[in-house]
This record gives sequence, C-alpha cells and structure tokens, in this order.
Amino acid sequence: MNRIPSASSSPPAAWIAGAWNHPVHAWISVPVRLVVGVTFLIAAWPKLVAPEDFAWSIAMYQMMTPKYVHLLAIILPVVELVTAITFIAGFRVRGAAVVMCGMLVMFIVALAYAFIHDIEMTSCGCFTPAGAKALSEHKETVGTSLLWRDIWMLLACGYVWLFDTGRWGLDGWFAHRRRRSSKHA
Amino acid sequence: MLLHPVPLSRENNPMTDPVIEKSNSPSARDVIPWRELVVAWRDAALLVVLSTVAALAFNFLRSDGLPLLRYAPFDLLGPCPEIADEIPRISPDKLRPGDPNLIIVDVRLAWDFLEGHLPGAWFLPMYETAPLDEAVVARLREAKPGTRIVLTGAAGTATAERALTALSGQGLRGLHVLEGGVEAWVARKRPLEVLTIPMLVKEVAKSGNIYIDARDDEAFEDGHRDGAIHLPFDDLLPPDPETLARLQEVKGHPLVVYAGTPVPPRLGGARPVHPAYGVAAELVARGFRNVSILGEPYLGRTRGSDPEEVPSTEGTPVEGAPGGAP
Repeated sequence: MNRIPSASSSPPAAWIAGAWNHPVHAWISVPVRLVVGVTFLIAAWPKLVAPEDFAWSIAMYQMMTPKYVHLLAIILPVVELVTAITFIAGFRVRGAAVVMCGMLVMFIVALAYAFIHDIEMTSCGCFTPAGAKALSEHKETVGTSLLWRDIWMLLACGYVWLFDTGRWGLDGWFAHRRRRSSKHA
Repeated sequence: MLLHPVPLSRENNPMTDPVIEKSNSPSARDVIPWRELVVAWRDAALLVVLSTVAALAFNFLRSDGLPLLRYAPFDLLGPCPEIADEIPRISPDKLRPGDPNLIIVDVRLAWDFLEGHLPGAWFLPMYETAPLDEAVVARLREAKPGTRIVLTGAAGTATAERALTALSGQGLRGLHVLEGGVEAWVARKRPLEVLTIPMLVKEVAKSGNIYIDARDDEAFEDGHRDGAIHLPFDDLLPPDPETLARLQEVKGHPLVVYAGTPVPPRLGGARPVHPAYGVAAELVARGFRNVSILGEPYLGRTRGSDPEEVPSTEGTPVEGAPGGAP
C-alpha cells in the first residue's frame, strides 16, 4: 500500500523517526540559526568592504597559489553573506545549512593546517581581514580555541540540516500559505 | 485509499516540512525525511552558484574590485626582495598587450623607445648612473594589486634585470623580464609603436615657438637663441627635472630643439645619437607633443650676430662685449 518504506515497521525505528520529526526541533533551531547566522553576517561584512585585505588573509595560510587567491576573496564573502541571510530568514534552511557546513569544514581544515604547520599570521582572517601588513609588524599563531569555535558551529549547522523543518521562517510561512490556498480551492 | 500518500505531496513541494504538511497523518512523522536531506544539497549547490554569480557581478561593478587572477605574489615576509638569484621571465608569446592586469614598462633610453616599443609601454629609462624616475615608480605602485609588470629592454635583458632588482627593492611585486627583449618581440612579427619627431629644415619664424638648446653648458653660456631653454644632451643622465617642470608649464607651445651641429636627415638608428635628436626624444618619450627638431645648426652667439663666428674659445672673459677679445 504505502510504497515509502515506513519506519513504523519496527518499534525502535519508529521511535527514532518520531524523535527525528519531533516539533521541538523547530523551536531549538531558531536560536541556533540566529547565533550562527549573525556570526556569519558579522564575519562577512569587513571582507566585503575590503576584499584585498581578505585576499591577504587567505594568502597567509599558504594553501593556495597566489594566482587564484583573488577569486576566493571575491566569492567567499558573498557566499557567507547570502547564506547567513537565508539561514536567519529560514529560506531553504537545510540548503543554507549544507553550505555553512561546507564553509566551516573549509575553515577548520585551513585553521588545522595553519595550526599543524605553525604558520605565523597577522590574524586568522575570520572577522578582521589581515590586510597588506608584513608579518614583521605583528604575528601570532592560530590557537585551538578558534578550531573549537568552528567545530561547535559545524555541529550546530549539522543539526539544522538534519532536524530543522524551517517551520519558523520563510519556508514554514510559504508552506502555511500553500496549505491555506489549497484548502480554499 | 491513497496509493502514494506521502510521495505525491512531497513531489509537489520538495521543500515543505513533512511535519507541517502531514501533521494529521501519523505516517509522515514516522519517516526520516531522507528526501529533504538530499534536496538540501541541491539547494546548497544553487545557493553557491547564485552567490558566485552575484559576487563576480558585484566585483565587476565596484570601483575597488579585484582582478580575478593575481600575478604578483603576496609579500608576506616583509619588504625584502625574495628574487635574489632567480629572475622571473616571460616569453613574448605569452604577452598580450591591452590586458588590463598587465603593465609593460620599457627600460631602454629615449631614442630606442621612440624607434619602437611594445604597444602601450610605459617609459621608465634605466640610465647608467641615475636612479629610476620616482614619479613613474609611484604610478606603478598605484596599480591594482596583482598586476603583472613586464620590463622590456634590449636583447641582452641585462638592463631590464637591473631595473627589476631596483624595483623589487622598492617593494614592487609581480615583476617579470621579457625574454629576449624587444628584439625577440620584433622577431615574432608582433606590432610595435613608433614615435617620430618632425624636422624643420629651415627655421620658421613663429611667435609661439619655444627654443630648447641641446648644446653643453659652455656653448650655452657663450650665447644662445633669445629665450631658449637650456636642456643639454646627456646619454648617462635624465634631463634636469626642474627644466622639465618648466617645459610642462608651456606644454601648449611648439617646442623646437636645436644643437650646434647639422642634424643628419635620417634621425633614428644613427649612433652616436645626435644631441638635438637625443633631447627631443627624451621630451617625446615623456609625453611632450608638438616637439620638432631644427635641422640648421646654431652657430652664432646670440640672435642676429654673425653666423660665421665660432663660439669663443676657452678662457675668453665672458663679461666683455662680443668680439671684444683680441
């Protein structure tokens, strides 16, 4: 009858599915989305304002050939901004969460690389772009606290991807309107 | 009885929430939303693609947008030049004049520059004894980050390499030397820009003309044309910057360069360079237009004096009247 392989066939699976779709997730994910989204907004803004300074930050990690650094410096802040806005607004929340996870994995890899190789840099380029400053002026190495921060945000975004239905956001609002119009029809 | 209660509704609204959509149906709440989780990846790809397009458009429109590719390294280690023994070179085949991320700089002297330089090349002569022109270096420094700066010189490229070392010492990056110099460019039949200077065979009396005396100090002090500006010819040093500044002020007027010996009919290519041509070339290469060369040599001391009179010999007191010496 029901072609979808229903999880209700066995009691533990039914329990997992029930917990997965529990309405409480829609409530928990709202503050999570706000915190992570606002963090990304704050991080994206200075990079958008000064793309060249951000290019220097990327170059400091010494992971890319300088030739393509500008491309990343141009594209990444806009991706951060757009994703942060859709994330907060709850529009295609799960898609935005996947993009955020991707970016955070990238950041974690970069920070870990800098941490392992003891790369000296003027700043991690997370919130304030380094700018065209020589290392002789100011240097520090990446600490693990930055890594932990990004890992926590990655977990949060993973949670949103898995459990947020977008009920409290544009997704939910669109679904609500659709339901109402189909009822009237 | 519905055959496909859940899939049908999801087919129509892939992004809708199964909990909201099917809040009355217990079956929807019992299913892990695999479809939503997968559709999220499609949405993520769309988001990234759209953001990338927006980012590129934004970068294109903004005034301080970055060039997409960067040809200069990031100077992460401070102002010390890292190119000590390896000079970056570029083949003439790879050089595309007109690329907005490329600046071609010609380091040869003015008369070579006039005879043919790469299209759009800047003039930054590398003299034997003088430092590089600060104004041009400052303009190079203002170039967009990541701009490739290609130095073109003669076939030997020794001068271009010297210029590269000097410029990298001043903190410029993205410097390259053109392999084989301008000669290699010509050998590949690529276009050159040539500047010519008209020659006046005889003097045409015109009120607006400004005369430039290319003879040496001694000859000038002995006598010169009325109101002539002294700019002696020197192939080891750039022209006096103060004199150039004075000439900038009268840029609208025709500039006529004269010397003490007859100018050969064929100007370019002759070595050694004729002083009048040398000075005129310096001016034209620096952007002065309306420059011409007077073919007639200047022999007399002052205007109207006997043209047969040879400028006085050394040691003659200047304060005496012309011809007053025994």
